[in-house]
Amino acid sequence: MSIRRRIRDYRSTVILAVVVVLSLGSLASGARGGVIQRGIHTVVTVSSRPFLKGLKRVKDGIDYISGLIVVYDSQKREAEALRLRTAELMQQAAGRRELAGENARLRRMLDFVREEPRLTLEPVEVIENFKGILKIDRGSVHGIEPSMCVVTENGVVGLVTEVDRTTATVVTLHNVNCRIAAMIQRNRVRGSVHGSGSDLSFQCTMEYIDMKDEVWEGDEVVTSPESVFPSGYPVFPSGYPIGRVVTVDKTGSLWKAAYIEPAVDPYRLDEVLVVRRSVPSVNELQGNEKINEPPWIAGAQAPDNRLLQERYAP
Amino acid sequence: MKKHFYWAFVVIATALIQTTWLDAVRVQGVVPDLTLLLVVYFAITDGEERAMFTGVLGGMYQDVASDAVLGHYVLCNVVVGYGVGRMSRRLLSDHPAIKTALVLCAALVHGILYTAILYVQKPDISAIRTIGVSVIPGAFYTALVTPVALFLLSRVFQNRKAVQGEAA
Repeated sequence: MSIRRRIRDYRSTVILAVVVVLSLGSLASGARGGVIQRGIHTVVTVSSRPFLKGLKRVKDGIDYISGLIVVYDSQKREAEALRLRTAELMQQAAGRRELAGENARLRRMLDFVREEPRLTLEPVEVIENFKGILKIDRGSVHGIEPSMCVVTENGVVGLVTEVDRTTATVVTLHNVNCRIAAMIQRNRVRGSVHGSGSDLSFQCTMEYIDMKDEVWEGDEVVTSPESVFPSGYPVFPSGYPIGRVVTVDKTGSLWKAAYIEPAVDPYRLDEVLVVRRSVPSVNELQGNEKINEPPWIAGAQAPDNRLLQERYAP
Repeated sequence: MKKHFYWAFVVIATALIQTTWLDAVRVQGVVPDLTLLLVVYFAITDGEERAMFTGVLGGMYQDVASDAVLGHYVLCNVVVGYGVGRMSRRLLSDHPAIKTALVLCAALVHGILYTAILYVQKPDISAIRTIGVSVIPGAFYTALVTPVALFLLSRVFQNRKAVQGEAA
C-alpha cells in the first residue's frame, strides 16, 4: 500500500496529528506575535472589521433603545415620585397657609387683648357653627357663664346662652334671639340690636330709635353701657363696634329702625374671645368720655336742642 | 465551493459572536461555547474532518481574539471535533437529549483539556478550582443552549436530515 493511499485512508487522523503537532509546537514555543500569528491576526482583524462595526452599531442601537426604555422607566418613576412629592408639598403648603392664617388671627387677638386692659378675655375655639349659633370649646369647668359677651378684635359676636361642662353655645347677632343694647357712636342715640332672622340676610336691625333722632347711613353702631351683669359689671364693653348702618326705616309712627351690617361675620369665625369681666374705664365712670370723631362729622354731632315745633316748622 | 464559503462565514461569525456578544449572557462569569457547539454540530452532520477544520478556524480566531499563544483553542477544538466525529458514527439515536449529552461531554473534555494546557504552561494556577468554577458550569451552560443552537444551525444549513442523524 502506497503512502499516499495510506494517508487518504487515514486522512482525518493525519489531519488531527498535523494540527496537534503544530498546536503543541506553537504552545511549546510560546511565541506570541510570530509571523503566522501576526498574519492571522491581520486577516482576522481585516475580515472582522465590518462585522465588528456592524456589531458595534447594533450594540449601540440596542444600548440606545434599552437606554430609552430605562430612561423612560426611570423618568416615569421619577415623575410619579415627583407627583407624590408635589401633592405632599401642596398639602404641607396648605397646612402652612392655614397655620399662617391662624397665627395672624391669634396675633391680632393678642394685640387686641393687650390693647384692652379693662377686659378679661378668654380665647376660645369655635367647634361648630350653624345658623348663627356657635359652639365653643369652653364650658362651666372653664368658668364660662350664660350672658357672657363674645367678641373678636373686629367687634361684637354675640352672647353665651347655654353652658355645658366643656362646651357652650353662643347666639350671634345673626340669630333673632340675640338682643344687645346699642347706640350710634356719632350722637349716642340708643337702641336695641337684634338679628333680622333671615338665613339669606346677614343684616341685623336696630330698633327703638326715637323718630326725632338723626341716624344716617354709614353711622357706626357700638355697644351701649346699659346692659349689665347682676354683679353690676357691664356685659359688653361700651363703645365696642357692632356694625354699620346700611339703611334707615322711617315708616314707623313712634320709632324708626336701622338695618345694620354687622362688623363680624359669624360664619367665618375660628376663634373668638369671651369677655369674662369688663371694667368700665375711668372716663366712662366719670361721665366725661370723649369720642374721637372725624372732623367732617363733628358739625352734625352737635345735639339738637330745639323744640319739636322749631325742628319741624315749615 | 459556495458551501465552503458559507461554512467559513458561519464559523467566523460564530467566533465573532463568541468573542463579542456573549458577554451579554454571561452568568457568574460563565458563557456558553458556541464555537464548540459548531464543532460538535459539524462532527455530527459532516464528520470529523469538517469538525476539525471548524475547530481550527474558530480556534484560531478565538486565540487571536483572546491574545493568547496560537494553539490553545485550536488544539482543544480539533481534539474534541475528531473525538465527537468518530463517536457520532456510532450514535444509534437522534434524540436531542443524546446530542445535548454529547455536547456536555464534549464541553467537559474541551474544558479539561484547555485547563490542562494552561496548567502545563502555568503550574501555579488551581486546575481543580478552575474546572469546578468555570469548566463544569460552562459545560452545563453550553449544553443548555444546545437544542436551540442545533435547531438554528439546522435551519441555517437547510440540512435537517443530517442534524437528525439520518445522514450519518
